[in-house]
Amino acid sequence: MVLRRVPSALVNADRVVLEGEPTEELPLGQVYISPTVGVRDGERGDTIEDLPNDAREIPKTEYFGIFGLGRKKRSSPPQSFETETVSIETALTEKKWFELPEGISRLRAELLEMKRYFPELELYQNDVGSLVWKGEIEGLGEVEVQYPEVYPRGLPRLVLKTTEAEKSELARKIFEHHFQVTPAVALVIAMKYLARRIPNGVVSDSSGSEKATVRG
Amino acid sequence: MEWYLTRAGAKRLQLEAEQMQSDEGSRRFSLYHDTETGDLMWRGPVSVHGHLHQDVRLIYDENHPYEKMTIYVRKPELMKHTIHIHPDGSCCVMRDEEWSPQWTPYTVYLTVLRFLTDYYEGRLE
Repeated sequence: MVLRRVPSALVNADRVVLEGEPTEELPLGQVYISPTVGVRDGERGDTIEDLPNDAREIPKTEYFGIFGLGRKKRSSPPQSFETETVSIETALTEKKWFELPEGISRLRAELLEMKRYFPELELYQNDVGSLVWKGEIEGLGEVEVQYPEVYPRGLPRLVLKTTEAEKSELARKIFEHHFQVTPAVALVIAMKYLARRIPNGVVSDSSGSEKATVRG
Repeated sequence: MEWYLTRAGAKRLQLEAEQMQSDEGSRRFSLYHDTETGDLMWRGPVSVHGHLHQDVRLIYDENHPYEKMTIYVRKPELMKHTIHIHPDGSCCVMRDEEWSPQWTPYTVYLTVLRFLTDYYEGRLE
């Protein structure tokens, strides 16, 4: 058995350990890139013993191949540059999103939205100064909706009692709505998705129940 | 406000800058700000199979890290004989849905190495 430690280049990804015989092919779906030696790829038959010491693991992406797609705005590459770097120290003193004019307006609108749809929840500020909606919702139990520091660029984070699988699926469903998710929208998605496991759930599968009623 | 001027964004940028220092190749990249377009980017040289590109640019999206970075390989530019290089010279090294906030400029830099390896080995369509 061969054990190889290969650092993953992704942020927040744990270091991975490859186990196997030296002649075993590298796992698919990943590529191993050494800045000095080159690329190692299981799909091309590269094996564990082929891995250079400085290889890093990254997901194997698919090159996109349609002209014009995949780009958002720029129609030409930027031509002029200044060697001006960003001062991180200055940036750290910046105001929070809800202290800025557009953030204040947004928060005001969301206060109304939450008051209308989820009056059970109240807004708190946590130890690090971030805003959090907290309370109990029938069917979901204790819930928290945490605003990210980069809101609305980042999505609100839901904290509730679910299984890991449900949590993962829920995160995916919320992400599908991308940048239009407010705390109320995130809660509605959670209630809709979790309705199946909630006895007398607030949101039910109306199509199924209506058919059953007609038949009865 | 630009993403890197928020508290979380500044921390992330600092982390990404540290990551770019982690190997000899990516260490040669520097952070630039284009005052005309407002773009923030990493620029540096990349050499693959003896082909040196002196100006490879990894440009942050304004919604970083929620949108993927844009890549230009310049000096010299790549010949556009493959569909993976757009008419404006940007290289498409991944599908939109493959991007996640876990990707960083360093990861993108490694992907550029892979892309250029495939390019010079004639593996691109």
